[in-house]
Amino acid sequence: MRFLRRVEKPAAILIALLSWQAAAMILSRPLLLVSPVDVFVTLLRLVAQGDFWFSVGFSFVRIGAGFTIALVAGVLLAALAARFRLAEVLLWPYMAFVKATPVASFIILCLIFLSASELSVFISFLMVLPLVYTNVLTGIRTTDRKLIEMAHVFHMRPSRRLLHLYMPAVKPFLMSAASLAAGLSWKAGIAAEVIGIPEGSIGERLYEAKVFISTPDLFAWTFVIIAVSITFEKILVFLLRRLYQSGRRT
Amino acid sequence: MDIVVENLTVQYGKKVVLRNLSVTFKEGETTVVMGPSGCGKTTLINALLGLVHTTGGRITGVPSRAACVFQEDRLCEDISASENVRIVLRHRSEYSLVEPALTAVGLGDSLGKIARELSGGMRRRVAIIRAVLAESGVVVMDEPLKGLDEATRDRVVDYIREKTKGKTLIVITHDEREANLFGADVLRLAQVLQSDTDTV
Repeated sequence: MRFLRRVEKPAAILIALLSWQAAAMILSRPLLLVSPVDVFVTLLRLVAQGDFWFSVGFSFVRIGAGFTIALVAGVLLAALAARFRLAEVLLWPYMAFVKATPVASFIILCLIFLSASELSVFISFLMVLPLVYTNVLTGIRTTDRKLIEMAHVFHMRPSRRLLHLYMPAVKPFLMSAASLAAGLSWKAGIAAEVIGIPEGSIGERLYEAKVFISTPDLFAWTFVIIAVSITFEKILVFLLRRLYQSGRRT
Repeated sequence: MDIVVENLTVQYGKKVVLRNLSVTFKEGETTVVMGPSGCGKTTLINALLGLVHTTGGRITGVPSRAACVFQEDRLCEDISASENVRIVLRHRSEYSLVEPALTAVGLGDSLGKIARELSGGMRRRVAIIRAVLAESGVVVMDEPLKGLDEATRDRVVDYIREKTKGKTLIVITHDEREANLFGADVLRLAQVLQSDTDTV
């Protein structure tokens, strides 16, 4: 049973790849549907180029920066909103606006006052901020009221309240928000790069693949984005877990 | 300074839980508050600790620092028994008191156990030690012996009496035998509700 569980996902991926290969062979038009083998070969060719790593680093740094700033700002603003109702009320229109506005509108609007290379930082920030803010605020609000009373009665230090009352309550909300937001920041950040076309970015490489109708490159870069996004999410979850563990040891 | 409760009224919505209660808790002495369920014992201590909004009357003389064993244990679930006690202590120098205190009530083998892994009786004892060791002018205990077996109960009461000597201690119980263990003045809350004033 345990063995079946372990192999079911790799098996599903293998079946999907085989179906894809079969469809590409039947269609036999690589411009429309490239085969997974061709994509893999293209990927190997790209990885061997120095430009590839530069593009990955370029996008990673910018989208990662936008994400990190939003994560920190989201947590701080949620703490502020939980403490002062006025802050929550004043922040509400901004958060509601950002959540409801299509990302493409933001990208086009922001291109007016931001350079192409700054755009993905800001767009990634905008997409992550409301998600982290809303989840962390909910997490703070689920903190056990009885424990808060206990801390009040014992005059517990604010740092200890944060560490032992609020952080454990916020943890599942923060982890889930960070995990969701990681994927979202990459989707939005790459979209911003494709529209802004900053030189040396993954977005620019995707745009070029589209312009030159190079389907294998398009697929290969898409896989790169998926891989980098998953890696980013795993690193993030690992770092947050470490942060919590070190907090518990303090 | 005595803790003086004058004409205290507490109301939850339309339901009056305490009406015109007047009582004095003498400084440095132990008072056991008894009464049937629902008579307002817990509400009285919540009012003393400033945890409920009082509708009328006033309370004076409550020290700025209080310690409490709540009806529920109110432990932080992800940290150990010792850490649960340490987090309410003001000074690092007091940390050395935690291990002997927990050992004295039979928790010597469970110091590092995470709170959620402790049994009901163990959790109760951690909550008691937390209240006893915390710096305070008054210690309030709501059913502190709940879930403890007889032998442990005697041991814990001896420990509480020894360590709270000179402090104002208010213990709530509905069990006559438990009240006798503390050998203190007993305030019967139902009687207070019937009469206007009582002094312990």
